[in-house]
This record gives sequence, C-alpha cells and structure tokens, in this order.
Amino acid sequence: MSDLKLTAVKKSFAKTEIIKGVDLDIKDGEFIVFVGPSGCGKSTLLRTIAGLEDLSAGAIEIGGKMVNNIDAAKRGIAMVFQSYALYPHKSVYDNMAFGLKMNGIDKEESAKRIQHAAEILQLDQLLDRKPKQLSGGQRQRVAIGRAIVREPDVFLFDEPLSNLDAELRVEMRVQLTRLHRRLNATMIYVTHDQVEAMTMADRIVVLKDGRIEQVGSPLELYKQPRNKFVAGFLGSPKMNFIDAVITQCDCQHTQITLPGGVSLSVPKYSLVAQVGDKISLGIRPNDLIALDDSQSTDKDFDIQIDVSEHLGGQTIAYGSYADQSLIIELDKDFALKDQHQIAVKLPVEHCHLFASDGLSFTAAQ
Amino acid sequence: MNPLQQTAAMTATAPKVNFSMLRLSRSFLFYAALVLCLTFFITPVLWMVATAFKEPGEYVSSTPSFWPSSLTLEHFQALINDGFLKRLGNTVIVAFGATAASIMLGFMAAYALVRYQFPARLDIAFLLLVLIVKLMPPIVVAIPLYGLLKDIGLLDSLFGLVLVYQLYTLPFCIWMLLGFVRDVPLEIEEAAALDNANILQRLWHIVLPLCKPGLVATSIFTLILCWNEFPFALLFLQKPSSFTLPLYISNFITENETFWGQLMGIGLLSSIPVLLFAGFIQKHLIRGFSMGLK
Repeated sequence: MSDLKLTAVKKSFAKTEIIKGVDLDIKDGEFIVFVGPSGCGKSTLLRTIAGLEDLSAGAIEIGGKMVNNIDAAKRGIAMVFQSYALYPHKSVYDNMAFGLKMNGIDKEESAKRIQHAAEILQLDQLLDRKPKQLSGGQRQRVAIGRAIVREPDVFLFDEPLSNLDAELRVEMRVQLTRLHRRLNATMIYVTHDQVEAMTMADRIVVLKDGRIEQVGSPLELYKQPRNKFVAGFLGSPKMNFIDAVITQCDCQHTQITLPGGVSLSVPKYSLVAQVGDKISLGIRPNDLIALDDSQSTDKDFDIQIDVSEHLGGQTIAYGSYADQSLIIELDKDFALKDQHQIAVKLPVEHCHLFASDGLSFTAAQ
Repeated sequence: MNPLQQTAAMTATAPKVNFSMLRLSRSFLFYAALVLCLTFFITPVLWMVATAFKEPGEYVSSTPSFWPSSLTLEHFQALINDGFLKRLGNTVIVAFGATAASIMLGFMAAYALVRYQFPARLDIAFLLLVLIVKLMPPIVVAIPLYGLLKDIGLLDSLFGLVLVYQLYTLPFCIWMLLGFVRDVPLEIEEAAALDNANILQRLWHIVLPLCKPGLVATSIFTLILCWNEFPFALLFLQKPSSFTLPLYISNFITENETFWGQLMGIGLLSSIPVLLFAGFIQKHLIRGFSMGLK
C-alpha cells in the first residue's frame, strides 16, 4: 500500500509561513499533480513529503505509517529533481546503482534492476556515458531511471520537464503517463504548467499562497472551478472575466447586467448573493460563440479585436468589450472582418459566476 | 569594371591590408612582450640550474659565465654526503603531513560553513577570525605557539611543526575551498540523501569528487607554502637532524663564504618533488564536473 495522507501540514521558514495547513488524501497508484503559480508552496510541500524539509506542524502518513520523524531515505520515496541532480562524476549506470549500493542491495540484483529500468526508458546504449555527454531529455530519463530502480512506494517529481524544450516536453509528458500506467505507482508531480497538470493528472491539487484551492479531476476543475483563481489558472487560453451586477436572483437563476447594458439570466445561484452585488462573469474563450453576419441579430455584444493568432486548426483573437479584455477562440474557417469586430453570443449554460470574494456560484439543478 | 565598381573594390580591399598589418604588428608586440616576461622569470631558474653544475671556482671568478664550462656533480655529491636526503625526508613529512591535515580539516570546515546554518552569524565571525591568524605577522603567533609546543613536549619535533604549519595554512585552505564547496549543487546532495547516503558517504562519494579541482589547486598552494616555510622552522626546530630544507639551505650562507654550488644544488633538488607533485595532480585541475549541468 502506498497511499499518502497529509493532515494539517504546515511549513514555515523563520517567521514566514509557506504552507498554511494542507489536508490531502492520495490513493494508492494515483497520479496527483500539484499546480499553482510561482511561490505558492507546491515545491515546498513536495520537499516536505520527501523529508528534505522538516514539518512545522501536522502529520504525513505513507502507507498508513506516520513518517514525520523518519529520514528522507527511509520513507520509501524517490524524487526526480527539476535540475535532474545527477551525479556528474558517475556514469549513467553508477548514477542508478548508487542508491542501490547505499541501500545494501547486491550487485546482481542491482544490475537486473538497472537493466530493466534502462529498457523501459531506452537508456541501454547510454549506460557508460557521463551525464554531461547526454542531452536534456536523456538526463531526465536517467533521473527517472534512478528513481525507478529503487522501487519506491511513492514517486515525487519536482517540475521535471521545465528545463526541456517544448517539443521534448510533450514527448516526455506522454512517456511519464505511460510509465505511470506501467508501474502503477503513486506519483506526485509538481508543475506550474497547467497543460501538464490537465494532461497527466488523475487528480489536480491547485495551490495558492500555501493553501489548497481545489482538488479534483482535471475535467471537474475545468468545468466546475470552486473559485475565480482556479477558473483563471486552468485552461488555455485562460478564462475571460467580465464585471457584472446582479439585477435579480432566486435559488435557480441569477439575472445580471454587463457593462454595455446586456442583460443575461445565468442558471447559477448563490445563497448569499443579493441584488446590486458586483460579481464577475467567467466564460472560456472556446465557449464564446462568434456569429457571422447572418446570425448577428442574436448577438449579445461585439468584441473589438486588436490581435489575432492563427494556429492552423484555430484562431485565437484578443480584443476588448466595454474596456474589459477578452479572448475568443475561433474556428479556422472564421473570416475575421476588416474592422476586426466580432459579434458574439454568451451561452449562459457555460457561464460561470464568481462573487466578489472569488467564490463560484452553484449550478442550478 | 565601371568607376563605381572600382571605387567599391578599392574601399573593400584597402582596409583589409591595413587590418592585416595591424594584426601582424599586434601579434609581434604580444610575442615580444611574452618573450621578455618569460626571460625575466626563467633567467634566475636557468642560472640556478647552471650554477649547480659549475666547478667551485667558476661562479666566483671575476669573469663569470652563464653556462658552466665543464659539468660537475660534486655539489650534489657533497650535499648527499652531508645528509641532504634526511632533510629532504623531513621536509616531505612536514609539508605533505601539514598539507594533508589542512586540506582535510579545511574541506570539512568549508563544508560545514556552506551547508549548515549558524546562529548570530557565527560562520562569518569564524571566517574572519581564522583570517586574522593569516593576516598577523608570523612572529605574533610564533611566541604563543612556542609556549604551547613546549608545554605539550612537541618542540623540536617534526610532528610539532606539522601542527604549526597546519594551523598556519588552515585559514587559506578554508577560504579557498569555500567557493568550491558552494559550487556543488545542493540538489545533488539531497538526491544522495534520498539514496540513503549518510553525511560521511555524501562527503566521500559526492562532494569530495566534485570538489576535486579545488582540492588539487589548494593542496598545491598549501604544499608550496609549507615546503618553503622558514621562520617557524627556525624557531621550533633545534636539532640539525630535524631541519627542513629551507633551514638546511641557510647553513650554506656563512659569514665567510656563500657556497653557491651547494645552494643552487639544493634549490634544484628541492624544487623537483613539488614540481613532480604539481605535475602529477594538475590534470585534476580541470573544472567542470559540477558545473554546466543545470
């Protein structure tokens, strides 16, 4: 069993509290991704789980056993560092063998495990090389190999792909997902890249300022973000937010008015919302419906476009409506008008509402 | 070629000639300066080597020559008969012993200063304090050291001198090694800690090999410092049989005569072990093990 439980975990450096009480249950074999902006404490939390940082308060259990006071090496974890942290003076083979030697595993068994890991990661031909003779991707695979041979209960990855170029990152992302399926081990992966989080995770943990904002499957977080931060952080391009004022509300719908005077009835509600409250309407760029001339009578408002990016399969257009920046995703065949003004419709079923404190309104049943 | 093209061609070729002339004269000046510098530094060494092989009368003649008219090994013979090898042995023991001790302690001190957190900036205070030992004139520390060595019965012993040299070179070693230890990425050590390596195993298997260039450079300098040290040896060694080479050399400059042949012979012979040591370990000076991986 390699489930992991964090209870009220806190971590401070001197007087600065970095992790402000984290509770989390991670199931055996799960691929969990910690995601959040720089400085949110995700790497610190990972290092605390690894035992590289002491806990200030709370408890960490791995496989039902409290590990607060257990040395990092005895926790049954293996970690892949952002900088790979390979031993530069040792060959690839020795890099993988070092941990096994330190753990008293005999040479025969070591050789078997290293060979197995090398096969999985296609490192067979590189075993005699020194790290400086390897490319970034190969080094990364060695770092993963070093973790695999130890056969840990939990794998920890600290932004392992951030030093790779975009193409290699995509390739390694797929390889890591395959590896997780093959080993079926519990993995915790730290990243600030929400695309990595969305594509790899069984569950995503969104962190901000040392606290968990939301935990859930990628689609759950994408479709039902608990607050404005999560809504804005996940999804690419990021969600649009438009200021709005509540004009009417009941326990099923909220009637709002947008700055340009557009009125909408959104099937979301909040028990504490009141008429006159200033709120934010959130809509993802791909949910905004761009209308052509024949449909323009159905429009809610026009977006004045200033920049458009043609990506081949789609076009991302950046513009504004009533002094609010907006992004819209257009079909590749959509013809942008000369005056760069697009009539759009807001599908109310895809609109999110966020109160002034950032909390999301509940979807009507 | 029309006139316009001609002008263009001329302007294109004219500066080229100037540039190549300039480059040529620059490199000539550079090599001339290099030869001058080299001559300045190498002449005394050549003079030492030449004199060591000269007949006794030749170097005190009124018309001294740079190169010996006939080669002789009599100065070396005299030195060996006089117990040169014993003094060389003493110097090897003292210099290598003190270097080994200084490097080992300096490395551990540098590691502790880099990796551990000390309250109230004690690490900075310690670094400045050890530097003061090095900044003070040797005679200031010599007197208390003399008393100390006398009390523990190590006066006039090679081991005592090893301790003194170790003390004297330790600040240099700590300061030199500090930067090299700092260059070892913390994450590599953390990876080793996760691999179940304890502090000594981490030092031995990871940090030490990564600091090898620094250790080599520091040990060469420390060895030279100890090898040539004179004032402490003069104060703390009394028996001629315990003398180190710098003390032994001073015997050849007397009130009545300076034995140039033997003096230069010792100079030549005593340089060889340090040169061999430096030559043997200089290949480890190449930096870059721990660097360039991020």
